[in-house]
Amino acid sequence: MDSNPDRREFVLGFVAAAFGAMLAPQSAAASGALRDQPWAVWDYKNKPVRGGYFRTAVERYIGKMNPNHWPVLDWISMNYFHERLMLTDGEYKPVPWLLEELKFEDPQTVLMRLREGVEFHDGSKFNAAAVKYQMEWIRDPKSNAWTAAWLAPLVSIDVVDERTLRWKFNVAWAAFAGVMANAPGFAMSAAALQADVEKYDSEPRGTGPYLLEEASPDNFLKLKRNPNWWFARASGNSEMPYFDGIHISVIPDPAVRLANLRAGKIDALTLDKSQYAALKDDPSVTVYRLPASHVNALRFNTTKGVFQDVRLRTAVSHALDRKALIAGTQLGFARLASCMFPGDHWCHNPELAPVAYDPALSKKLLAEAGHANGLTVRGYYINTTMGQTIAEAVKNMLAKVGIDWQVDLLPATALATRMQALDYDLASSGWLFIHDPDLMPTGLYHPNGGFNFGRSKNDAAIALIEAGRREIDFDKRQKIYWQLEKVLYDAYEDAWLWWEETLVAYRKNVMGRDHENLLKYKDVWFWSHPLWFKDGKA
Amino acid sequence: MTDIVAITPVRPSGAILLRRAVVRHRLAACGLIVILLFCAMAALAPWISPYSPYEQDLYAVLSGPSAAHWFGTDNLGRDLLSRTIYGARVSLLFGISSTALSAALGVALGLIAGFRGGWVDGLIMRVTDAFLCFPPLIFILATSAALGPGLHNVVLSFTLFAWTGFARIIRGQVLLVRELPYIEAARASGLTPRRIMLAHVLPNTLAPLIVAVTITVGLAILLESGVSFLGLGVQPPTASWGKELRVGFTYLETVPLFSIAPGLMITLVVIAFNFLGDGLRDALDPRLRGAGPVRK
Amino acid sequence: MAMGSYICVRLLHALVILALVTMLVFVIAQLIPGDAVMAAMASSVDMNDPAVVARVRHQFGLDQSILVQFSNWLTRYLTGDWGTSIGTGQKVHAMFIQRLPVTLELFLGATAWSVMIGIPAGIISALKRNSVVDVAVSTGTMIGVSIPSFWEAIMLIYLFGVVFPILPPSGYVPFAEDPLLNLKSMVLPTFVLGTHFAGLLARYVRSSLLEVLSQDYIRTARAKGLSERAIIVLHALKPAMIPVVTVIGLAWAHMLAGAFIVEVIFAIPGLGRMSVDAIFQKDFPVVQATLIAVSVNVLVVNLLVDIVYGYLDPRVRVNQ
Repeated sequence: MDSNPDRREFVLGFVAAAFGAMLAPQSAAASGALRDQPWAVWDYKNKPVRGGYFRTAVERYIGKMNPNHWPVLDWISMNYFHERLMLTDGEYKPVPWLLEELKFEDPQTVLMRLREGVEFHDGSKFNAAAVKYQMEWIRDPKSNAWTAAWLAPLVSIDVVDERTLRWKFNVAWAAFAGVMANAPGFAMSAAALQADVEKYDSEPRGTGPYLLEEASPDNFLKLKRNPNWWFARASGNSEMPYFDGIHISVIPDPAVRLANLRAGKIDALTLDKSQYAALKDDPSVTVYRLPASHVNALRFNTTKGVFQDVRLRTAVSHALDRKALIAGTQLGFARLASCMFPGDHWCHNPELAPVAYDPALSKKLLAEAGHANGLTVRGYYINTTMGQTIAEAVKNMLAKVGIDWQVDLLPATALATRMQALDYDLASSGWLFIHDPDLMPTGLYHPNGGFNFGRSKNDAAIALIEAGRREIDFDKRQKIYWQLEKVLYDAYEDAWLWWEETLVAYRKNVMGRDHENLLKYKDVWFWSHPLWFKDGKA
Repeated sequence: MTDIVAITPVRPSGAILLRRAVVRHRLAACGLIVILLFCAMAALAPWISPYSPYEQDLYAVLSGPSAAHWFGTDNLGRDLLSRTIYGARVSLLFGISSTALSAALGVALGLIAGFRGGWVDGLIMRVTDAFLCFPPLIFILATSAALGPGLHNVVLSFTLFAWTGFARIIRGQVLLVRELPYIEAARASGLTPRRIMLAHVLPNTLAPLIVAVTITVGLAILLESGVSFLGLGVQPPTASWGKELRVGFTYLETVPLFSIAPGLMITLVVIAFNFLGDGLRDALDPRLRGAGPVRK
Repeated sequence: MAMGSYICVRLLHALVILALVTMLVFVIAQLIPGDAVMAAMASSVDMNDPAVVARVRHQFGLDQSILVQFSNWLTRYLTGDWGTSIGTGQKVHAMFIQRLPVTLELFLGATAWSVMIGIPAGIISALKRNSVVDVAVSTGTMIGVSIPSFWEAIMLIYLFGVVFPILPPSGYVPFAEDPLLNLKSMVLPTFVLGTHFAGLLARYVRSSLLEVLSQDYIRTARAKGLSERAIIVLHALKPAMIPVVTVIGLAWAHMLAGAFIVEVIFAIPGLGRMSVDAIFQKDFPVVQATLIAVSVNVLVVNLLVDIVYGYLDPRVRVNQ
């Protein structure tokens, strides 16, 4: 049912930009003019046409619609009606969106300039007072915002004028821009929050291209076009967004989602990889393949049990034929991983090569470490269909070198318990939505990390993680993360398997998708180039 | 003209029951044959499977039928035909063992309830009713989730639920039988209640019990697929029909046989058990002999 | 036994059962592994921070003893406060009310199908025992009972939703919003559910009709020279339908939350899906509330059926 490795990792990963995309005074983030941006190009062959309800399907209902309240189960839909202060670009660096400019006056002070002419769906103004109210609301313990911890370094926010704020931190906060590109950065109407905070969970008031029209829990979400979308005006494309609305159906089963696409009942769908074969020759749809900023890995318990010995970790990592795993379990739709940051991420260390498949080496190391007659280790994996497939394939590979991996397939909550209790030797790992470089390393390798619980204690890595949080200079920060990858890589701290890819299918009458530029600019391209229907209807 | 048949209390042995059912009810006969065929398939699995059900080939996943793999391969490149054959073992074993366990528990409690009467009977019956308040699949799901992964836990959960049906049936039968004169005589002659229960009462309750058993096996096999649908049940790499059906479901468009084969197997076996049960019930019911013109 | 005391006894039984059920549900909900707090806080980076964990546990009342939790929950439940779902944050009571009409519609449709298919099948089967017709009909209804429901569902979705697109493949639209679409989307799910019970119903009708037909008074009627048809229609059918009431009652019990596989496949927001999701997310409030509601419902229906039986067939009362 759940195609994501771990729901919590999903959210934390998404929120990854929290501690730190980098920010140098001279970066593109500083400049404000929209039309100067390299992605601000709309030279379409065919003129966009207004009209039609765009229909799509998701696995789960969104849940709560206040991004700071748990649980939110559908962040894609969230982005239709809430927009963030910053987005990310093709290398996952933050770029201003609702902000015009974000400038570090000194490592502990930021001057933030908001865009003008932006309104919330309830007509109230997006201004400095609203942003200040929202951020202070998040920090207030009474608000029960799960994002509060990310604003921990914040000391004060001062309104300088209608569109300017000065933020003061108690440390050099390198990750600040990344936080603004993430959950706390979704702009919410202060007026609505003030009026009725509980109601906001089901009646959101953002700035996005669509407003909530109707919500039927566990069934569908219906959104309608926002005629006052600021971006339409600011970019000179007054007809944006082009759809009259969006209809998001909740369909739990992937086979049934595909049937709906086939029957023409939905216009776009994120596919299960196995569905590609069925659709690639279908004349009514086009299938696109995109890199996704998720990493799939296996985690070692390096502080308890046999994997304290680096030789055994090395043995496991070399016993895995990653190419075969990708061919078999991902049907070829994944990128071979060297370490934790995806290949197209600015923090990815280009000098590291994927670990080679060398079962002979594994056997040799096992013997050296005293396990010539085999080794039994325990662990777990998520019990979704994909999880089972991967676990079985890995188990089989390890068996070939004499390692018996007793893997339990568990649902998410049971898995979380085992992870917390360090009740495993080798288990599933990974991270979703790797945007900011600090969140994943902290989560996985720092003592305070939400997914560590003491299973990993690499002092060199910890020192680098802490340095990366404070380094304001972009190039220096990048080098810190490259070094971090090398340290973890050399120590075989985890076995990284692949970086993800997504397959999306669109019906042929959906226009405006520029795949090349989407690959180049990713997030910011997607939200600045809304799609439309040919002839304006579904 | 109708048959006017004197209805005498007959206590047919199991063998006579079976023969009566098979002769009278051709569907039941077919059912029995199908069941025996599947049992044979399960028993002979290592000899008739072309491949090991565990041999993976990651470069040949989800392929359609071919000369090398008659049914194609699954999501790990394993031969589907072999997995379907081996799947019979698990599904049939699960069906039979969980039914056996629930029957044992249910019969024991039903005997006690029917024979003892009084507050013991009242308590057991109320507990039965309490268990029966839950929709079967939800109950089994919840208990499986509580007990943890693994087929043995599903067997346990199923037993915890299915004993109620047996208890009810047996109790009903005991209530009918215990008033019979020869039971009174046995009591009068000083036999212990336990001996009376086991040696005299139980054999007379076998008829509906056998029917219930056949139908419960079918139910168990169906429930196994339902439980697998939600990720509980058999642990990999074991193949069971329910598990294969569930996994194959995802790949319906690419490799339809992946789910059609186990789906068909489950349906066939369950139908077979149901028909056998129906035939046995028909054979057992003396009242049906006088029920009007029987068209052949 | 007089009717009055019969009812009282049945009522007493029902209350005892309810008490047992309540405890059973609570125990099961507790035993499911995984921590509700973990599930609730899954996103927070301070999961390691004991102060935060303690705060959330206190919020959900998980820091008190089991007995206290149980009694707190029970009192609140009886006063209509069914708590807040840990998984969605909605009020459980509201969630229940939202989904009840959906499940009700599923049940009504399924019952309609099973009656339409099952009763005629049972009658034919009884009257033409062991003939080719009997075989065909029996096999047909038996398939409905024997086929795994989610498999039957997806086959039908492809057949009538994709290949011959006359029905929507999945989804639910409230009747008030679009009656025609609502009915069209309900055809396949109710059919899948209905075929399951049609087989059961056919069996009951068959055996009950056969039993009635073997009664003395039927033989008398035959001896008097009445046509077979008249016998069946005038004398046999009505009494044979009594067990049908039981089966429909049984179906109601199963369908209320047991239809969840159908709800998942057809993407229908009903009670079954809600309860199953809650079981897996260890969402106590929802699990407990739903199971209790379902059980109460079953008890009420069984009670009613028992009373109806007791009224129709005095022998039942005596056997108590």
